[in-house]
Amino acid sequence: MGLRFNTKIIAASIIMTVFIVSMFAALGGALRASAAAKPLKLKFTVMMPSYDPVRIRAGELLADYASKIGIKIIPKPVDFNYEIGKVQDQHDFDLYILGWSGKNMPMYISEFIRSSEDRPGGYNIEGVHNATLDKLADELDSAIDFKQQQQIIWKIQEILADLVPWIGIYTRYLTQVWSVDWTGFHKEYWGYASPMTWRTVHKKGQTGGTFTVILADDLKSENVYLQKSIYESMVWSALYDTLVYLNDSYMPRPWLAYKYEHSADGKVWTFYLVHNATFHDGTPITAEDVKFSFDIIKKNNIPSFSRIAQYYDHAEVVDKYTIKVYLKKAYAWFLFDLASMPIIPEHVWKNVPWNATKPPKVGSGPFMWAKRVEGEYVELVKYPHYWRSDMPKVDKLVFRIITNFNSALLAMQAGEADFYVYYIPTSAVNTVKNNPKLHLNLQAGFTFYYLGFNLRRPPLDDVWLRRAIAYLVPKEQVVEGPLNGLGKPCTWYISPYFDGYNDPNVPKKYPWIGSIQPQLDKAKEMLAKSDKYTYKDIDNDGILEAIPKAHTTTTTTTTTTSTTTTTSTTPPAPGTSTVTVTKTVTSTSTVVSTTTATTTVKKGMPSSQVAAAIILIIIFLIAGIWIARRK
Amino acid sequence: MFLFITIMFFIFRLMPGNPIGLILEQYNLTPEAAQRLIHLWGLDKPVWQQYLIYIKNLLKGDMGISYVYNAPVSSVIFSRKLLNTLALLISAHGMALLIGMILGVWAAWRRGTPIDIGTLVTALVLYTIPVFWLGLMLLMMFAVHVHWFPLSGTITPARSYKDILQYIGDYLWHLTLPMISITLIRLGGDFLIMRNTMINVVREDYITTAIAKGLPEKIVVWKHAARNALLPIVTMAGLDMAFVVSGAVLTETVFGWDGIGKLTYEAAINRDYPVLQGLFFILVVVVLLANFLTDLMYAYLDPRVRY
Repeated sequence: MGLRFNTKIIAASIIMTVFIVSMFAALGGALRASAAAKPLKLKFTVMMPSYDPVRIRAGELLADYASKIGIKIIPKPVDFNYEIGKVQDQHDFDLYILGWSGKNMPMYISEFIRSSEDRPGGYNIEGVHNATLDKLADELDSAIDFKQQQQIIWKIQEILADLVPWIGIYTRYLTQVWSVDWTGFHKEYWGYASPMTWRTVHKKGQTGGTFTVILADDLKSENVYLQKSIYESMVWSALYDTLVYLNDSYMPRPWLAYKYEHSADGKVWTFYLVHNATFHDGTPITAEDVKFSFDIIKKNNIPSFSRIAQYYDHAEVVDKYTIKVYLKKAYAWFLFDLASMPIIPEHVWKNVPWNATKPPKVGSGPFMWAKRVEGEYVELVKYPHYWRSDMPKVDKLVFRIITNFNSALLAMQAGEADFYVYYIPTSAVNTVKNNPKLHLNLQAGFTFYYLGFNLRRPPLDDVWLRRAIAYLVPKEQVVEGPLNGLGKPCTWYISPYFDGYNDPNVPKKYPWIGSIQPQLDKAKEMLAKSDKYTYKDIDNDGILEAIPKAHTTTTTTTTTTSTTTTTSTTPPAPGTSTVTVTKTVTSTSTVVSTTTATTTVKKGMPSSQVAAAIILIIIFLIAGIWIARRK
Repeated sequence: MFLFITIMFFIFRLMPGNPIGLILEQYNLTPEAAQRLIHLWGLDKPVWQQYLIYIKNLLKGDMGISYVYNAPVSSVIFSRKLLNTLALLISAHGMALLIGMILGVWAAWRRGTPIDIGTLVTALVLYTIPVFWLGLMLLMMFAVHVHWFPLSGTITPARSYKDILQYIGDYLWHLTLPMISITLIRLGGDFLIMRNTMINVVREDYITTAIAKGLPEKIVVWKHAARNALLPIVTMAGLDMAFVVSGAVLTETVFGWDGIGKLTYEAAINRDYPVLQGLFFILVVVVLLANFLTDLMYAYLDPRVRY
């Protein structure tokens, strides 16, 4: 038999394909044309990650309250990665709910407010463009004096509260679960255990033994510089020491560097190392090693430590235990970053590529690498010559990998593990609380779940509309309902859990930020105050329309208004300037003229697109029929 | 196959979101560093260019470097994970097949008796139970209330072994619960297929003849009827075996069984394109191989089929 190539069939199929594609294109064009022609309806979608019931409920509640004052909000739970793609890469959204702790932390806030970050994939998702904020962001990152930092950061908070590019909804307590037999725990960092915990944890009344920790994700490599998640950093913080550490109020304190000082301009830092610290192979930790630890990051621009790579310039070894670090420019959060920068031995690493997946693991911390079975566990043993002779207090530290939180909690209940820091679903909290063998530690933290606005998309560019929506966010209801009381309503731009950085006046001075319950009348009041749009339900469908105020009386000519009135009784033909909305408008002439003014601007292009598409469709139809008949 | 690889390549890239999305929320990467990562992974090139590079490397046997593991894809897939998955799924599927077949033959032969109806109902119930629920129930019963079996993992953490036998023993001990849960879930389907074909076979003339010849019941059932009823279930089993390499996501997650299913899920979440492509490439190869083997099996089971 065999296949014969029939040219007609091939031609017909090509034409059919082109036809179908052009159909879709035409349809898309027509849809876009009709969307562009409509007036600005207060109709928005709010995206939230579908895996989190709390955020879904928050969106639904917001939609309920908004509908009561004529703003239609459609909750749309989507895959987390999809949301990130839409929101951060494409800027294709109206409203979105996400959790991003950096957004309310003093050391990261500047990234979120710079106008240069308003680009696909950038951090300025909302599209904030404010010259004062740009200036303050730069000033903040180079301010090393606490008073100065405080002043700048308070100003930033006031501007943000006034602008409302995003609004905090709730903060979730950080949760740690441990077996009641153990003690010596420290406050949680954001999402993972404090490095100090490994150094001080011990069984009540005794030292030694094995401490088993649940790790929510496997190591992706055995290299501290390739760490991909906060869980990995838990392991590395036990294996490596750092120059400083963050204490329980998240302030940097001396550690491997027993003393440090900086020059007046903040660009030169001097660190004095403890003299008795050694690596796990017995060689002393010297200034050369510290210099090498900085250089390796700078030389290879290692992503996990990108801030250090960006600001560090060079270092100078003063003597065996003293080092001077020169920065390119003053950097406010240098010490915070040092609290996670590992000190590594130069003699081991100088011949190893920085991104080797299994480099030698000679560490500087309280525990030595013993064994790892991929996907199962990581076993660390006590380093007997650690420079703090009173640490660590256990002989063995085992990280057991359990990725599913249900299984992890079962393991805690069965006594197979002693410590768990990770997400605990609100539904499981009572199980843990009622178990006499387990202790549930709740700690107010700086997780930050917020509602973001797309400032590029009218009418969301109106600050009064954003303030109105801010008044509708049911913060308290979310915390007490779906969150089961395991958190607090957010009324801030910088978390109050950083002493001194939070501006306490914000909630009072800007009541839409301080509001924790929906206040419909206040929201309406905000809409009425708008100087950009008039909010009015002109087509009586229960949803408000936004009518720009600036163009109201300027350009409308008598001819356009007359066409409006003539076509108002019949549905308008495609291509003419009027739109459906004008049908129902009969009362005030000013409103009519406004709508026509706004829509005439946008008409021309889409109608020509539609015409071209229709012609294309007809051509392909004829061609298709012709070929089919020939066959 | 080439077509399949091409489709997979573009489907994964059409998924919204990008590989650094997840890293961004956890780490505070500076914008420059994020750009550098994108460049490093070649994601700033046009998609067609990425595609050509991918095909070129694949022909050389290079499946790329994983974004998450920073290691070659082949070393990520052909690792302990694949062994774990094979051990779990081959044992569970084999067990389900064996028990399902025997029960199916037996139930069909005793069709209509309370025993048949009882097994049928049980099979239907098992067939519809969600696997993660069954898994959690098994864990609650056998791992939390009575400590007969371990909660998760494939071996006991941080334990030192005297010899290899002790290691295997520990491994099997961990294997028991996940294996039972997959066996139970699979059992229902295998049983139903076997029972259905067997009922049709039993009505055939040659069975009546065999019984009329006065052959013992055992020989009629197992030699004459069951062998002829094997064909559909062999086809099914062949295809199922092909999916053994793709792992069982839910079971592996509940039991903390570090296998390919978990890897696939994780790679999809993290948009680790090279790993996803590698996994599906291997899946295609194995499906084709399994089809070939099934055809060979036919020739053995059915003398009418000759190649």
